[in-house]
Amino acid sequence: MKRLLISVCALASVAGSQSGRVLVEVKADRSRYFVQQVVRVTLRVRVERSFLEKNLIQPFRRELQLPLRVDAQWLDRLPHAAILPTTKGAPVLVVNGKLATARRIDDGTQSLVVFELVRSYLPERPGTLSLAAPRVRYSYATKFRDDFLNGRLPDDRHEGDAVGPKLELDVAVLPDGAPTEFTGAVGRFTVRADAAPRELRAGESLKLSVTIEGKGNLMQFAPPSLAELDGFHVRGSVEASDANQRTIVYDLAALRSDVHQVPPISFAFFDPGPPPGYLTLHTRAIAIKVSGTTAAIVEPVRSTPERRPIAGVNDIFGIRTSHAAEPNKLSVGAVAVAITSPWLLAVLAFGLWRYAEQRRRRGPPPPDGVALFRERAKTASVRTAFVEFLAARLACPTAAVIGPELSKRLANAGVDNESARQADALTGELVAELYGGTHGNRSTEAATLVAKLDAAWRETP
Amino acid sequence: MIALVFALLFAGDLDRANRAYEAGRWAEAAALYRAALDGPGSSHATLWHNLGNCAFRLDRSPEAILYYRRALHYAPDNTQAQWNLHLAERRLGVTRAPPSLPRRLLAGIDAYPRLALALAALLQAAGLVAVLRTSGRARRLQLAAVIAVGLALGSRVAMTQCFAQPTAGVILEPSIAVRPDPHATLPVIARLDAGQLVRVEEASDRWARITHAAGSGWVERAVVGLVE
Repeated sequence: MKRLLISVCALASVAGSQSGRVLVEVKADRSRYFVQQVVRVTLRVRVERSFLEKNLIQPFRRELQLPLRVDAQWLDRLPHAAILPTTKGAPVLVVNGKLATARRIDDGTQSLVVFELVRSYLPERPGTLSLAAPRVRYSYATKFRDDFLNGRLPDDRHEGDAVGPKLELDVAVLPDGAPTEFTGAVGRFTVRADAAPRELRAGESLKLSVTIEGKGNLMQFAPPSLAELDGFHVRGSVEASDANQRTIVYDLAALRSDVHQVPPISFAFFDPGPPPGYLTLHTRAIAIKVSGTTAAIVEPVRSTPERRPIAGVNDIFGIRTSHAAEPNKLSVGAVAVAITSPWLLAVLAFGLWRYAEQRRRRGPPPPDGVALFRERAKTASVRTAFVEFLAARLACPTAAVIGPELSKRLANAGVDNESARQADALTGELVAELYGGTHGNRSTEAATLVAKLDAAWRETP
Repeated sequence: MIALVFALLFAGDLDRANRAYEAGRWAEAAALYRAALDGPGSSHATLWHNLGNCAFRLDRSPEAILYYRRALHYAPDNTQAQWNLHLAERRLGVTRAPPSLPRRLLAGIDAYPRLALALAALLQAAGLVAVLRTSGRARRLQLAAVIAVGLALGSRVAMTQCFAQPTAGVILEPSIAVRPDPHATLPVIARLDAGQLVRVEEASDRWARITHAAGSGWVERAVVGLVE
C-alpha cells in the first residue's frame, strides 16, 4: 500500500483533496510569464505528524526534521532559466541527494507538519519551462526496537516512493513599445531619490541616491542612465541591495552655478500585470544651491553608459543548436483529398441516412420462415406448420390456403413457377395424408421447400 | 553510408560554427553556417537564425533582417527569431504597423496549414451533414455559412501550399531608388530604406519589380534579398 501521495498543481489549485500521510504540492503564482519575469515556484510538503514521528526512518545518522528524499532536478537547475540565490539555513531534508533547507510553516492544522522550499527563476528565453514530476522516496517501519549502541532501530523496514505530475509554464517575449528609458526591469517597482549635500560649489559633487524597491528582477537590469543629466557629470556610482530594494548612489558633479535642481530621474519597467505593460516612473526634482565657479571645470565628454545585454529585453537570443524537423509543404494531392473528402463523406453519410430512413419506414424485416416452420412442426404436424407458413406468407387465413389456384397464387406472390408447383403438390399430399393417404415422413422435403419459398419471398420487394 | 559520412562532416562544421560564434568570431561562424546550408541533415530554420545572429553581431542589420525572415519562413513560430528580427529592425528604425486581425488570422493559417486543413475539412463535413438533415431555412443558411468558412479556409491552404506566391524581399542597402521602369536613367519615384520588406513581383538578372506601401516600381536586383 502506498504510504505517500504526491500531487503537483499549478497556480492556486490545491492538490490536497485526496488524503495521504504525506502530500507534496508544487505551486507557481501564475501559468504564463514573460522573459526576465521572476517565476516563484513553491514545493510544499505536508506530513502527517504521527507518521513523521513514529514511522519514518532517518536516512542518515544525522537526524533530519523531515526524513524524506526529494528528487526534482529543477530545484537545482532549470534549462533556459537562471536560478536566483536562495537563503541558507539548517538542513531539513534531502533534495537531489544533498542536504537542503526548507522553511517550516504553520498552516493551522495540528495533525500535519508543513515544510516548503521556494525557488525563484528568471526565464532567459521564450518557450515552455518544464518542471519534471517530483519523486519522493522514503523509508518507514511499523515496528522498532531500542538498541544500546545505535538507539531506535526499525524491525520491518519498507521502502516507498511516489511520483507526481509535471508542471509546465509558458514564457512569452516582452511586447513591443518599450520606452527609451527601459533598461530591462521586469516586475512591479517604485522609485525614489534623495541628494546630499543640497548646497555645494560648482565643480563639487553630491551623492544622488536612487532607490528602486519592489518585486522583480531587481538585480538583473541596468541602473537608470544619468549620462544626459543636464548640468551634471556622473563621476561614478556604487550600489547596495537587499532582497526587496536596490540603491544606486551616483557621484554627481555640478558643472555650473546656474543649476538649481537635480531633475526628475526616469525609471521604466515592464509590469507583467495583469494587465501587462510598460510603465515609466519619475522621481521628484530635488532643489539644490550651487554657488561660485571653478575655473578648472571642463564639460566632460559624454559617453553612453554600457548597458548589460539581456536576451529578450535589449539583446538578441543566441544561436540555436537544435535541428527540429521543418514542416514540409503539403502536396497537391493531400490538399485536394482534404478538401474533397468532406463532400464525399457528406454524400456517403447522406446516402446511409436515407437508406436507414427507408428501412425504418419499411418496418422490421419479416421473421425467419424456416425457423418458425421448424418451431411449429415440433408442436403440431408438418402439414399444419407448412400450411400456416403459406398462410402467413400469402396473408390469408389458414383455411384459405388449400384450393385449386394455390400454385397460381404462389406464383403471383413472387415464387417461381417450379417452386409454386412443388408447394401446391406437397400441400395436396399432406392434406391427402389426413384422409388416409400415406407418403411417409415429409418433414425434410417440407423444410427444404419452406427455405426455398422463404428465400424467394425475401427477395420480393 | 555516404549520406552518413556527409552528415557527420557537416555536423562537425556546425559544431565549429557554434564554437566560433560563442567565441565572438562571428564572420568565421557565418562562413561555416553558410557552408552547412548546402549540407544534408541540417535545419535551414536553425542555420538562417544563426546566420541572422552573426549578421546582427557584425552590425549588418539589413542582412540580419533578411536571414531572420528566412528562418521564419521555415519556422514561423520561432519566437526567438521574431524577437531578434524586431531588434534588428529597431536598430535600423524600420517600423511595422501591428498586423490587423484578418492578417493575424491569415498568418496563423499559413503557420499551421495542416491544422487549418483539418479544421476546414471538419467544418465542411459537419456543415454538409447537418445541412442535409435540417429543414429550416434560417438554420440552413447558418450551416451554409459554416461550410463557406470551411471552404475559405481550405482555399487559403490550397493557395499557399499548391500555388506559387509572390516572393517577399528585404532591401539590403539604404536609400534605394525605385524607378517606373527598369532603366537607370529614369526619374526616381520613391526611395526605400534598408531593412524594408517588399513584395517581389518579378525579377531578372539586373532588375526586380517590387511592391511596397511607398509605391511600386523597379529597383536594382542586387539590393533586394529574396526571403524564399
